[in-house]
Amino acid sequence: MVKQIGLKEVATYLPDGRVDNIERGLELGFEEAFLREKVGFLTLTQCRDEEGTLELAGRAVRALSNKTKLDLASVDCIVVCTQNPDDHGLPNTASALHAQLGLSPNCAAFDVSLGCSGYVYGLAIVKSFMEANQLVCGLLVTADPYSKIVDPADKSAAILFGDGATASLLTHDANWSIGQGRFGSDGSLRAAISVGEDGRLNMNGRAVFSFSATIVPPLVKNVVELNDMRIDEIDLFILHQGSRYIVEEIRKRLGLSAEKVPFFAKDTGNLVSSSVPAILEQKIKLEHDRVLLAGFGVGLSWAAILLTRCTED
Amino acid sequence: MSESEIRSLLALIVPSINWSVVTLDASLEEAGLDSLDKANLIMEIEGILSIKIDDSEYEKLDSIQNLIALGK
Repeated sequence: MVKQIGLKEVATYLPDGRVDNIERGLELGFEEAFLREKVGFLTLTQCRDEEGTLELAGRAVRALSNKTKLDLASVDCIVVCTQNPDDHGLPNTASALHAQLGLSPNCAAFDVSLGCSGYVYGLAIVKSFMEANQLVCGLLVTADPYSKIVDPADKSAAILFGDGATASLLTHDANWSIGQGRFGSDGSLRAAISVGEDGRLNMNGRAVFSFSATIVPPLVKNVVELNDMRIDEIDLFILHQGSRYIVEEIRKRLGLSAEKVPFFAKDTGNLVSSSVPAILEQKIKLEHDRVLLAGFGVGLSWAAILLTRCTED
Repeated sequence: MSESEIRSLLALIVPSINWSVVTLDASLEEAGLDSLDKANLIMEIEGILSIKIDDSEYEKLDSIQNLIALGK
Protein backbone atom coordinates (compact mmCIF):
# COMPACT_ATOMS: atom_id res chain seq x y z
CA MET A 1 0.00 0.00 0.00
CA VAL A 2 1.31 3.47 -0.92
CA LYS A 3 1.94 5.63 2.11
CA GLN A 4 0.40 9.07 1.70
CA ILE A 5 2.76 12.01 1.62
CA GLY A 6 1.63 15.28 3.20
CA LEU A 7 2.97 18.66 4.21
CA LYS A 8 4.76 18.76 7.54
CA GLU A 9 6.17 22.27 7.87
CA VAL A 10 7.11 25.43 5.97
CA ALA A 11 9.87 27.97 6.65
CA THR A 12 10.40 31.35 5.00
CA TYR A 13 13.51 33.40 4.42
CA LEU A 14 13.10 37.09 3.68
CA PRO A 15 16.23 39.08 2.89
CA ASP A 16 17.06 42.12 5.02
CA GLY A 17 16.69 44.78 2.31
CA ARG A 18 13.50 46.85 2.19
CA VAL A 19 12.19 49.22 -0.46
CA ASP A 20 9.70 51.89 0.60
CA ASN A 21 7.14 51.16 -2.09
CA ILE A 22 5.12 54.31 -1.47
CA GLU A 23 8.22 56.40 -2.04
CA ARG A 24 9.13 54.43 -5.16
CA GLY A 25 5.60 54.62 -6.50
CA LEU A 26 5.32 58.38 -5.93
CA GLU A 27 8.59 58.87 -7.81
CA LEU A 28 7.09 56.88 -10.70
CA GLY A 29 4.03 59.13 -10.75
CA PHE A 30 1.45 57.00 -8.96
CA GLU A 31 -1.07 58.43 -6.49
CA GLU A 32 -0.49 57.43 -2.87
CA ALA A 33 -4.09 56.21 -2.47
CA PHE A 34 -3.65 53.94 -5.51
CA LEU A 35 -0.48 52.47 -4.04
CA ARG A 36 -1.97 51.87 -0.60
CA GLU A 37 -5.49 50.78 -1.50
CA LYS A 38 -5.16 49.13 -4.90
CA VAL A 39 -1.62 47.78 -5.18
CA GLY A 40 -1.40 47.23 -1.43
CA PHE A 41 2.34 46.67 -1.11
CA LEU A 42 3.78 49.26 1.28
CA THR A 43 7.21 47.65 1.45
CA LEU A 44 9.09 45.33 -0.91
CA THR A 45 11.67 42.87 0.39
CA GLN A 46 14.92 42.99 -1.55
CA CYS A 47 18.05 40.86 -1.55
CA ARG A 48 21.57 42.23 -1.89
CA ASP A 49 23.14 42.34 -5.35
CA GLU A 50 25.52 39.54 -4.45
CA GLU A 51 22.77 37.40 -2.90
CA GLY A 52 21.78 34.85 -5.53
CA THR A 53 18.91 32.41 -5.85
CA LEU A 54 21.02 29.60 -4.40
CA GLU A 55 21.81 31.65 -1.30
CA LEU A 56 18.15 32.50 -0.74
CA ALA A 57 17.15 28.86 -1.22
CA GLY A 58 19.86 27.62 1.15
CA ARG A 59 18.79 30.07 3.85
CA ALA A 60 15.18 28.90 3.57
CA VAL A 61 16.22 25.24 3.92
CA ARG A 62 18.38 26.06 6.94
CA ALA A 63 15.45 27.91 8.52
CA LEU A 64 13.32 24.81 7.94
CA SER A 65 16.04 22.53 9.32
CA ASN A 66 16.33 24.64 12.49
CA LYS A 67 12.58 24.76 12.92
CA THR A 68 11.96 21.03 12.48
CA LYS A 69 15.32 19.59 13.67
CA LEU A 70 15.44 17.95 10.27
CA ASP A 71 18.44 15.72 9.61
CA LEU A 72 19.48 16.82 6.13
CA ALA A 73 21.11 13.41 5.55
CA SER A 74 17.60 11.93 5.52
CA VAL A 75 16.38 14.06 2.60
CA ASP A 76 15.77 11.87 -0.43
CA CYS A 77 14.22 14.41 -2.78
CA ILE A 78 14.78 18.16 -3.23
CA VAL A 79 12.85 20.19 -5.80
CA VAL A 80 13.50 23.87 -6.44
CA CYS A 81 10.89 26.06 -8.07
CA THR A 82 12.50 29.12 -9.63
CA GLN A 83 12.55 31.14 -12.82
CA ASN A 84 15.64 33.08 -11.84
CA PRO A 85 18.32 30.41 -11.48
CA ASP A 86 21.95 31.37 -10.96
CA ASP A 87 24.40 30.56 -13.78
CA HIS A 88 21.74 30.79 -16.52
CA GLY A 89 20.03 27.72 -15.12
CA LEU A 90 22.79 25.33 -16.08
CA PRO A 91 23.52 23.58 -13.81
CA ASN A 92 20.13 23.54 -12.21
CA THR A 93 19.64 25.24 -8.83
CA ALA A 94 18.53 22.02 -7.11
CA SER A 95 21.88 20.38 -7.90
CA ALA A 96 23.79 23.40 -6.58
CA LEU A 97 21.62 23.35 -3.46
CA HIS A 98 22.19 19.61 -3.11
CA ALA A 99 25.94 20.28 -3.00
CA GLN A 100 25.66 23.30 -0.72
CA LEU A 101 23.62 21.34 1.83
CA GLY A 102 25.76 18.19 1.51
CA LEU A 103 22.77 15.99 0.71
CA SER A 104 23.00 12.27 0.09
CA PRO A 105 23.89 10.89 -3.38
CA ASN A 106 20.60 9.00 -3.14
CA CYS A 107 18.68 12.28 -3.00
CA ALA A 108 16.91 13.25 -6.24
CA ALA A 109 17.37 16.92 -7.18
CA PHE A 110 15.58 18.81 -9.93
CA ASP A 111 14.10 22.21 -10.76
CA VAL A 112 10.59 23.23 -11.75
CA SER A 113 10.36 26.34 -13.94
CA LEU A 114 7.16 28.07 -12.90
CA GLY A 115 6.33 31.38 -11.26
CA CYS A 116 3.34 32.26 -9.12
CA SER A 117 1.59 28.91 -9.64
CA GLY A 118 4.82 27.02 -8.88
CA TYR A 119 4.30 26.19 -5.22
CA VAL A 120 0.92 24.56 -5.81
CA TYR A 121 2.28 22.63 -8.80
CA GLY A 122 5.31 21.73 -6.69
CA LEU A 123 3.26 20.26 -3.87
CA ALA A 124 1.48 17.95 -6.32
CA ILE A 125 4.72 17.05 -8.13
CA VAL A 126 6.70 16.24 -5.00
CA LYS A 127 3.84 14.30 -3.39
CA SER A 128 3.30 12.21 -6.52
CA PHE A 129 7.03 11.64 -7.09
CA MET A 130 7.57 10.57 -3.50
CA GLU A 131 4.56 8.27 -3.36
CA ALA A 132 5.42 6.66 -6.71
CA ASN A 133 8.98 5.94 -5.57
CA GLN A 134 8.30 5.28 -1.88
CA LEU A 135 10.43 8.18 -0.69
CA VAL A 136 10.15 9.39 2.88
CA CYS A 137 11.56 12.88 3.21
CA GLY A 138 11.18 15.54 0.50
CA LEU A 139 11.90 19.26 0.30
CA LEU A 140 10.12 21.74 -1.93
CA VAL A 141 12.01 25.02 -2.20
CA THR A 142 10.81 28.25 -3.83
CA ALA A 143 13.19 31.13 -4.58
CA ASP A 144 12.62 33.91 -7.08
CA PRO A 145 14.52 37.17 -6.60
CA TYR A 146 12.64 39.24 -9.16
CA SER A 147 14.55 42.38 -8.11
CA LYS A 148 17.31 41.06 -10.37
CA ILE A 149 15.11 41.28 -13.47
CA VAL A 150 12.78 44.20 -12.68
CA ASP A 151 13.76 47.64 -13.95
CA PRO A 152 13.11 50.00 -10.99
CA ALA A 153 11.93 52.62 -13.50
CA ASP A 154 9.35 50.32 -15.11
CA LYS A 155 5.91 51.48 -13.93
CA SER A 156 4.26 48.17 -14.78
CA ALA A 157 6.49 46.03 -12.54
CA ALA A 158 8.65 48.11 -10.19
CA ILE A 159 5.98 48.49 -7.50
CA LEU A 160 4.95 44.83 -7.38
CA PHE A 161 7.67 42.32 -6.59
CA GLY A 162 9.56 41.40 -3.44
CA ASP A 163 12.32 38.83 -2.96
CA GLY A 164 12.03 35.78 -0.77
CA ALA A 165 12.40 32.03 -0.49
CA THR A 166 10.61 29.21 1.29
CA ALA A 167 11.27 25.57 2.07
CA SER A 168 8.58 22.98 2.76
CA LEU A 169 9.03 19.53 4.29
CA LEU A 170 6.90 16.73 2.83
CA THR A 171 6.74 13.39 4.58
CA HIS A 172 4.41 10.65 5.92
CA ASP A 173 4.17 12.12 9.39
CA ALA A 174 2.47 15.25 8.11
CA ASN A 175 0.44 18.08 9.61
CA TRP A 176 -1.52 18.64 6.40
CA SER A 177 -2.86 16.15 3.91
CA ILE A 178 -2.70 17.26 0.30
CA GLY A 179 -6.01 16.78 -1.50
CA GLN A 180 -6.82 16.76 -5.18
CA GLY A 181 -5.93 19.76 -7.26
CA ARG A 182 -6.55 21.21 -10.67
CA PHE A 183 -3.88 22.62 -12.98
CA GLY A 184 -3.96 24.44 -16.28
CA SER A 185 -2.18 26.70 -18.74
CA ASP A 186 -2.83 29.02 -21.64
CA GLY A 187 0.46 29.23 -23.48
CA SER A 188 -0.96 31.68 -26.01
CA LEU A 189 -0.78 34.30 -23.23
CA ARG A 190 2.84 33.53 -22.24
CA ALA A 191 4.17 36.91 -23.42
CA ALA A 192 2.09 38.68 -20.76
CA ILE A 193 4.82 37.92 -18.20
CA SER A 194 8.16 37.43 -19.88
CA VAL A 195 11.78 38.52 -19.90
CA GLY A 196 12.96 40.45 -22.94
CA GLU A 197 16.29 40.39 -24.72
CA ASP A 198 17.49 43.11 -22.36
CA GLY A 199 17.07 40.69 -19.47
CA ARG A 200 14.28 42.77 -17.94
CA LEU A 201 10.81 41.64 -16.97
CA ASN A 202 7.96 42.70 -19.27
CA MET A 203 4.51 42.55 -17.81
CA ASN A 204 1.16 43.24 -19.43
CA GLY A 205 -0.81 44.09 -16.31
CA ARG A 206 -4.13 44.23 -18.09
CA ALA A 207 -3.74 40.74 -19.59
CA VAL A 208 -2.64 39.28 -16.26
CA PHE A 209 -5.54 40.92 -14.44
CA SER A 210 -8.15 39.67 -16.94
CA PHE A 211 -6.70 36.18 -16.87
CA SER A 212 -6.64 36.05 -13.06
CA ALA A 213 -10.13 37.48 -12.57
CA THR A 214 -11.73 35.09 -15.06
CA ILE A 215 -9.78 31.86 -14.47
CA VAL A 216 -9.30 31.74 -10.71
CA PRO A 217 -12.88 31.93 -9.33
CA PRO A 218 -14.11 28.87 -11.31
CA LEU A 219 -10.82 27.10 -10.56
CA VAL A 220 -11.38 27.55 -6.82
CA LYS A 221 -14.97 26.32 -7.04
CA ASN A 222 -13.88 23.34 -9.11
CA VAL A 223 -11.27 22.25 -6.57
CA VAL A 224 -13.72 22.61 -3.69
CA GLU A 225 -16.20 20.32 -5.49
CA LEU A 226 -13.45 17.92 -6.52
CA ASN A 227 -12.70 17.35 -2.84
CA ASP A 228 -16.40 16.79 -2.03
CA MET A 229 -16.65 19.98 -0.04
CA ARG A 230 -18.85 23.05 -0.05
CA ILE A 231 -17.19 26.45 -0.36
CA ASP A 232 -18.44 27.48 3.10
CA GLU A 233 -16.58 24.50 4.59
CA ILE A 234 -13.20 25.96 3.60
CA ASP A 235 -11.69 27.94 6.48
CA LEU A 236 -9.14 29.97 4.55
CA PHE A 237 -8.31 30.69 0.92
CA ILE A 238 -4.67 31.53 0.33
CA LEU A 239 -4.54 33.17 -3.07
CA HIS A 240 -1.34 34.19 -4.77
CA GLN A 241 -0.78 37.79 -3.69
CA GLY A 242 -0.44 39.49 -7.06
CA SER A 243 -1.83 42.76 -5.66
CA ARG A 244 -4.51 43.78 -3.19
CA TYR A 245 -6.80 44.58 -6.11
CA ILE A 246 -6.63 41.14 -7.72
CA VAL A 247 -7.09 39.33 -4.41
CA GLU A 248 -10.14 41.52 -3.73
CA GLU A 249 -11.56 41.02 -7.21
CA ILE A 250 -11.33 37.24 -6.99
CA ARG A 251 -12.80 37.32 -3.47
CA LYS A 252 -15.78 39.38 -4.68
CA ARG A 253 -16.38 37.02 -7.59
CA LEU A 254 -16.41 34.09 -5.18
CA GLY A 255 -18.82 35.91 -2.84
CA LEU A 256 -16.56 35.34 0.17
CA SER A 257 -15.65 37.51 3.16
CA ALA A 258 -12.35 39.38 3.44
CA GLU A 259 -11.66 37.32 6.55
CA LYS A 260 -11.64 34.13 4.48
CA VAL A 261 -9.68 35.56 1.57
CA PRO A 262 -7.19 37.96 3.13
CA PHE A 263 -4.53 40.11 1.55
CA PHE A 264 -1.38 39.44 3.51
CA ALA A 265 1.49 40.79 1.46
CA LYS A 266 1.62 44.51 2.34
CA ASP A 267 5.04 44.19 3.98
CA THR A 268 6.73 42.02 1.33
CA GLY A 269 5.31 42.58 -2.15
CA ASN A 270 4.49 39.80 -4.56
CA LEU A 271 6.94 37.01 -3.69
CA VAL A 272 6.13 35.01 -6.86
CA SER A 273 6.38 31.25 -6.08
CA SER A 274 7.07 32.03 -2.41
CA SER A 275 3.90 34.05 -1.97
CA VAL A 276 1.55 31.17 -1.06
CA PRO A 277 3.93 29.17 1.21
CA ALA A 278 5.09 32.30 3.09
CA ILE A 279 1.47 32.93 4.07
CA LEU A 280 0.96 29.27 4.85
CA GLU A 281 3.79 29.47 7.36
CA GLN A 282 3.00 32.81 8.91
CA LYS A 283 -0.75 33.30 8.90
CA ILE A 284 -2.39 29.94 9.55
CA LYS A 285 -4.29 29.74 12.85
CA LEU A 286 -5.45 26.76 14.86
CA GLU A 287 -9.03 27.19 13.71
CA HIS A 288 -7.98 26.75 10.08
CA ASP A 289 -8.51 23.09 9.29
CA ARG A 290 -9.22 23.29 5.57
CA VAL A 291 -7.15 25.65 3.49
CA LEU A 292 -7.37 26.10 -0.25
CA LEU A 293 -4.22 27.27 -2.05
CA ALA A 294 -4.39 28.92 -5.46
CA GLY A 295 -1.46 30.13 -7.57
CA PHE A 296 -1.63 31.81 -10.98
CA GLY A 297 0.75 33.72 -13.21
CA VAL A 298 3.68 32.99 -15.52
CA GLY A 299 2.79 30.71 -18.43
CA LEU A 300 0.09 31.83 -18.08
CA SER A 301 -0.65 28.99 -15.71
CA TRP A 302 -2.87 28.23 -12.76
CA ALA A 303 -3.16 25.67 -9.99
CA ALA A 304 -5.26 25.11 -6.89
CA ILE A 305 -5.19 22.41 -4.24
CA LEU A 306 -6.84 21.70 -0.90
CA LEU A 307 -4.92 21.12 2.33
CA THR A 308 -6.66 19.47 5.28
CA ARG A 309 -5.19 19.48 8.77
CA CYS A 310 -4.30 15.97 9.93
CA THR A 311 -5.93 14.93 13.16
CA GLU A 312 -4.48 12.47 15.66
CA ASP A 313 -6.68 9.36 15.82
CA MET B 1 -23.34 49.25 -25.38
CA SER B 2 -25.57 52.14 -24.41
CA GLU B 3 -24.44 55.16 -22.43
CA SER B 4 -26.52 54.11 -19.42
CA GLU B 5 -25.06 50.59 -19.44
CA ILE B 6 -21.55 52.03 -19.46
CA ARG B 7 -22.32 54.49 -16.67
CA SER B 8 -23.82 51.62 -14.63
CA LEU B 9 -20.71 49.53 -15.13
CA LEU B 10 -18.49 52.44 -14.12
CA ALA B 11 -20.59 52.97 -10.99
CA LEU B 12 -20.31 49.28 -10.14
CA ILE B 13 -16.54 49.26 -10.48
CA VAL B 14 -15.83 52.67 -8.92
CA PRO B 15 -18.84 53.57 -6.77
CA SER B 16 -17.04 56.47 -5.10
CA ILE B 17 -17.28 58.61 -8.25
CA ASN B 18 -20.50 60.22 -9.51
CA TRP B 19 -20.31 59.02 -13.11
CA SER B 20 -23.60 60.66 -14.05
CA VAL B 21 -21.89 64.07 -14.17
CA VAL B 22 -18.96 62.94 -16.31
CA THR B 23 -19.51 64.18 -19.86
CA LEU B 24 -19.41 61.84 -22.84
CA ASP B 25 -16.08 63.14 -24.11
CA ALA B 26 -14.36 63.65 -20.75
CA SER B 27 -11.24 61.68 -19.97
CA LEU B 28 -12.13 58.77 -17.68
CA GLU B 29 -8.62 58.82 -16.26
CA GLU B 30 -8.98 62.48 -15.31
CA ALA B 31 -12.38 61.67 -13.82
CA GLY B 32 -10.66 59.17 -11.50
CA LEU B 33 -10.59 55.83 -13.32
CA ASP B 34 -7.19 54.33 -12.48
CA SER B 35 -5.36 51.70 -14.52
CA LEU B 36 -6.64 48.72 -12.49
CA ASP B 37 -10.25 49.87 -12.61
CA LYS B 38 -9.91 50.48 -16.35
CA ALA B 39 -8.61 46.94 -16.87
CA ASN B 40 -11.59 45.67 -14.90
CA LEU B 41 -14.06 47.82 -16.88
CA ILE B 42 -12.72 46.74 -20.26
CA MET B 43 -12.70 43.09 -19.19
CA GLU B 44 -16.40 43.40 -18.30
CA ILE B 45 -17.18 45.08 -21.62
CA GLU B 46 -15.27 42.40 -23.54
CA GLY B 47 -17.37 39.77 -21.78
CA ILE B 48 -20.69 41.53 -22.43
CA LEU B 49 -19.95 42.21 -26.11
CA SER B 50 -18.04 38.94 -26.68
CA ILE B 51 -15.17 40.83 -28.26
CA LYS B 52 -11.42 40.98 -27.68
CA ILE B 53 -9.91 44.46 -27.48
CA ASP B 54 -6.26 44.58 -28.43
CA ASP B 55 -3.72 46.64 -26.54
CA SER B 56 -3.42 49.40 -29.15
CA GLU B 57 -7.19 49.99 -29.17
CA TYR B 58 -7.30 49.71 -25.37
CA GLU B 59 -5.11 52.79 -24.94
CA LYS B 60 -7.63 54.90 -26.88
CA LEU B 61 -10.59 53.91 -24.72
CA ASP B 62 -10.60 56.84 -22.34
CA SER B 63 -14.09 58.30 -22.67
CA ILE B 64 -17.67 57.10 -22.44
CA GLN B 65 -18.10 58.19 -26.05
CA ASN B 66 -15.30 55.87 -27.22
CA LEU B 67 -16.73 53.01 -25.19
CA ILE B 68 -20.18 53.46 -26.73
CA ALA B 69 -18.59 53.12 -30.18
CA LEU B 70 -17.15 49.72 -29.30
CA GLY B 71 -18.62 46.76 -31.13
CA LYS B 72 -20.50 48.98 -33.60
